[in-house]
Amino acid sequence: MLSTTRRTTLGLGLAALARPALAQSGVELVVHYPMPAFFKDVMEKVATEFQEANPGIRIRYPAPSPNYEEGVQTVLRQAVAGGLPDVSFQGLNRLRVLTERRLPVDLTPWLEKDGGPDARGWSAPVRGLARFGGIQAGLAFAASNPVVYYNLNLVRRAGGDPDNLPTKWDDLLALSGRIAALGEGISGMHFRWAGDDWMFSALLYGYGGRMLTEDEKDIAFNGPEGQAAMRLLDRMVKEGKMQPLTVDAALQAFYAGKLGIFSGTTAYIGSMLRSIGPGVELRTTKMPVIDAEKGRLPTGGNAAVMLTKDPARQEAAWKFIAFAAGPRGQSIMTQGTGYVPSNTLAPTDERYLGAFYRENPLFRPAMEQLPISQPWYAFPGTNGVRITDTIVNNLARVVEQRATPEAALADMAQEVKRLLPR
Amino acid sequence: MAGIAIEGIRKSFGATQVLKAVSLQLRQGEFLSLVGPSGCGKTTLLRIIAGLKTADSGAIHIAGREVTRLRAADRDIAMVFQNYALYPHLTVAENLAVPLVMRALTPWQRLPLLGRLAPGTAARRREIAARVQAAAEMLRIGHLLDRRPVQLSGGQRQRVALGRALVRQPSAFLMDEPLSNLDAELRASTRREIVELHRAAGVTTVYVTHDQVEAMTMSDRVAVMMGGEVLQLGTPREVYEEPAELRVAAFLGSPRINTLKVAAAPDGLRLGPVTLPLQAAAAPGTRLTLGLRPEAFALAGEGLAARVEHLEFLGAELLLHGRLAADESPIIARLPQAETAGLAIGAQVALAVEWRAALLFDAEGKRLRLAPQREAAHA
Amino acid sequence: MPEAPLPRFAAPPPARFALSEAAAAWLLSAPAMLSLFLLLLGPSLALIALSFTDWELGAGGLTWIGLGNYAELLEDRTFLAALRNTLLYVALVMPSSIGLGLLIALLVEGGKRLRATFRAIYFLPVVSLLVAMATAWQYLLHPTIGPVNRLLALFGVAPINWLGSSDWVLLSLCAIGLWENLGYVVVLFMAGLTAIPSELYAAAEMDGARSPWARFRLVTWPLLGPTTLFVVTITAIRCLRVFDTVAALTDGGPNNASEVLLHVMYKEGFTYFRIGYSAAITAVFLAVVLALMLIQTRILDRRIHYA
Repeated sequence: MLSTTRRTTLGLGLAALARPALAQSGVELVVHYPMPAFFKDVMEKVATEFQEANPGIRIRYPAPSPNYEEGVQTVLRQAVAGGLPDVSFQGLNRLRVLTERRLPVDLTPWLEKDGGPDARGWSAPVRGLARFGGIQAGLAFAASNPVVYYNLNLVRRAGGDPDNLPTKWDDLLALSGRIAALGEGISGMHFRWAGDDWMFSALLYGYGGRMLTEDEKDIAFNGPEGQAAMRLLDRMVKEGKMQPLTVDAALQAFYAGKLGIFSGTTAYIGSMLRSIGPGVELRTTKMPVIDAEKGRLPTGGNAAVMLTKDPARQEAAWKFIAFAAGPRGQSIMTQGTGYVPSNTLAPTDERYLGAFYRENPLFRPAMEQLPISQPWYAFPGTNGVRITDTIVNNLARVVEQRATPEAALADMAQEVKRLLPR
Repeated sequence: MAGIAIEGIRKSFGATQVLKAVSLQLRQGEFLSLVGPSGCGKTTLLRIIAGLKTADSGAIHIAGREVTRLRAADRDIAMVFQNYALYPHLTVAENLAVPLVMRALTPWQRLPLLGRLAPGTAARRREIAARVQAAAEMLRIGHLLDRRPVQLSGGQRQRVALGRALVRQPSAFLMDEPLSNLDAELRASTRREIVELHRAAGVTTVYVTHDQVEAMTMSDRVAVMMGGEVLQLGTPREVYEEPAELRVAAFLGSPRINTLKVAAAPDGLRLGPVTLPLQAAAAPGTRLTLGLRPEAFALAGEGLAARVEHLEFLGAELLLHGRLAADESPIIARLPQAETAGLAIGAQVALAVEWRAALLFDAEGKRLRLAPQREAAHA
Repeated sequence: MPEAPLPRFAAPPPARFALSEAAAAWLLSAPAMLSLFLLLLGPSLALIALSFTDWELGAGGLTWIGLGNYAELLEDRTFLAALRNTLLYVALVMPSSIGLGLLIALLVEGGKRLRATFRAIYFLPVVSLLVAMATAWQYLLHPTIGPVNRLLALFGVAPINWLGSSDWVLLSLCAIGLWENLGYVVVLFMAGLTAIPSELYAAAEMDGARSPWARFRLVTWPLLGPTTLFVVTITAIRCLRVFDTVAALTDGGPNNASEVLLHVMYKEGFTYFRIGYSAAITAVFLAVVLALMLIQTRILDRRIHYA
């Protein structure tokens, strides 16, 4: 923390030497962000360009939080103890907790300025990612959705066509089964079901299902869509020969060229490219389509949340948020990570990401899935993460083939129901 | 029946020869002290006899049985250690019982609780208890049987260690400086007790000590060891009065024996300008060492002239530290208190010598025979 | 010697001094007592108080709910699994690491050469960062590309999903725990062994303890008593505190099969923000630790202190 502060201060000091008049009457914005492994370089670059464009506003980053959980915890603690940052980047599924604690500033008034949000590239689906409790709790910064990664070498060996990869689960499972049959310790597929409920919701949304009823009083995932999702998970094991690997183990196997298909967030692209061995030829596709009409996908990622209550600072904070979530900020973010821009102007415009997407097809599927992306559902009440764990635990029973999909879903429904607010 | 026979024991640690072909014979029931300065190999020899160390070559017989290849537990001997080596977690009674329990009971019978179920255990336990009681009473530690070693004084621990050795009635006792951790008074009384116990039990005993008083007062015979060799084996009187070597003479006796550099001459021995009335069987001009014990001197009207440098009052006696006029060599004389009235530092005295007690050694330190002359010393 | 009157200073000091001496004693011990309270007792009391509330991080207020949290614990599947797993972990790792550690210490100490080398090798896991080593374990135990399964395959053993299967995951963590604790135990026992006077072994030999086992029973084991008590205490606490391997390797899964007390406590407090509930788990954890310590000191302490 100290070193970051010092470095920033030093940089600012040099900037002040260069342009003394501008630095004197400025505002210093404190901005907190998570997952430095993904975002540190991006954030530094965003700050540099923002400060050049907005002399008079300085950005200071305190120590970043290692993950979304600790990020939200830091802010919640600061809300009690003092020292809240002006702006914080928070996981999309954590915004609900913050909103219930009445911490975020509603961004609606600012969005309405300058010709309205749509004109600036923040379409209604983008805005929806960070709308909770009737307010615009934040503005999406980095978005992700699930994609499928293939090792084309294994696909070829199993008789698959690299230029005609599966678009339906039936085909994917069959291909996975064939890859698994290659032997030599090669596994077919891994669907990243563990860790959280995100990938389960990808299946559930794919059938057009939803987690809870509209009024959020009761569960809705135990209907026909949920049952179909559980059965599909069961088929991954039975037909796709999926083993109950931990996520890390699956990724390691994929890097080593021993896993044919990996399905998980597009945010892995960066680390995939860095980690795969020479025996892996990487390609990404969109998720297989389940229901062409009702099918949706969950969105991961984070949003910039305004926390300062001081009107003068709010003005500066909005400028920063708008820059980060604007086309330039989104270009920086997309090229530095595997995430999808949450701004409709950036991807197509040649000034921003147009050329990037042409030259980097691996990044394309996630972007192309944006139209069917919807928010990652955050459960109401205080048991959100426990509900997530309950779901994952019951998924584990199916993946380990210790319970039928129907039985696991029934238990899951019963247990989650008890954890909902009464 | 034989006692202990030690034949040609050699032992080296790396390049260092610790024992150079040591041989000793102990009669049945004999009390023999191994005495010598630290590092002379006496403890190593004891441990080889015990079976705690193996010799490089040589043989050991105990009570007529060759034990060289046997391990300690099978040699039927008991040992008293310098630091007593009592088991701190066991009571005095349990400590005393260990050698009996280890030999009389099978591992199965030794098990706590379960062992009691084995046939014959109870009877053996009763017998052991009786023998422990007997040993404890002999050593007057019967009232301490329930205590742990940490609750005992040094002298009491020492008795328990003795008791542990006695309780089994072995064919030999080995003692490794058992008194060195006791205070002076206790040491003197325990010396006597050990001798009495030995007399009563009649067990062959090897006693290691660096303390010549213990060696002289307790032993039937003394083996003086130095540099891995037994320099001399004999009764305390023999080794003191007729030392075979200068090193033996120098080690035994306190204060140390006075040594004077002399040269053989046709008419006696030359000490500086003085000719001593002693005749050595050596060619004239041979350099020799003359040993005079402090008690060989007496104050007299004439004799060797010396200057008094220091006086030590010992009660009945007085130690005179002086310097001979003849060759400026330092000497110590032990004089009866009664004869020393009026002595003062700086005074010139004449020391008469009892020449019959003089010891003569050649350049290698080997003892030479000499015959006293008729005349007294003259300038 | 002429008779002298007793020196004055031998007389007891006046009462005024005694009073101020007591005051000085309080004054001097105050910093220690204050910090003891502030740093150790205070937080523990605060924790116990918190465990009777429903406080959540960031929530405005808190309510006194009495034993509500504890009642919930009794019905919490995750917590009960964690409690069972933790106790199982202690029951497996503690005796095995102590037994094996003692054996290794005896072998190393019995050997003449390379003692320091062995000591360093066995101590390596203790000084290495466990989270970093967890990555190595993850690779070693990898079901398809891991060397362990490849080695087993040479003997015709079918691949085992060490960390992914609920049958194996706790055993795998126990094995890692054994590896992690072993070096510590070995080094402690080696220190204990060097403190045993060699004369006692000589005495035991003379007294007829022929077999190594007999000498071990007569000398080594009883004299290692204080060391063993310390090792048992330390190892028990280290085992109860198992957390980092779970957090780094399994996250408690699959289906709570590797969930342990501290991990649940961490999740409840730092992921779910339920500080009150988390405090209740911590209180249970402290109770288990205290109970264990009490049993140990009661049973062992009495039998092993000679000094």
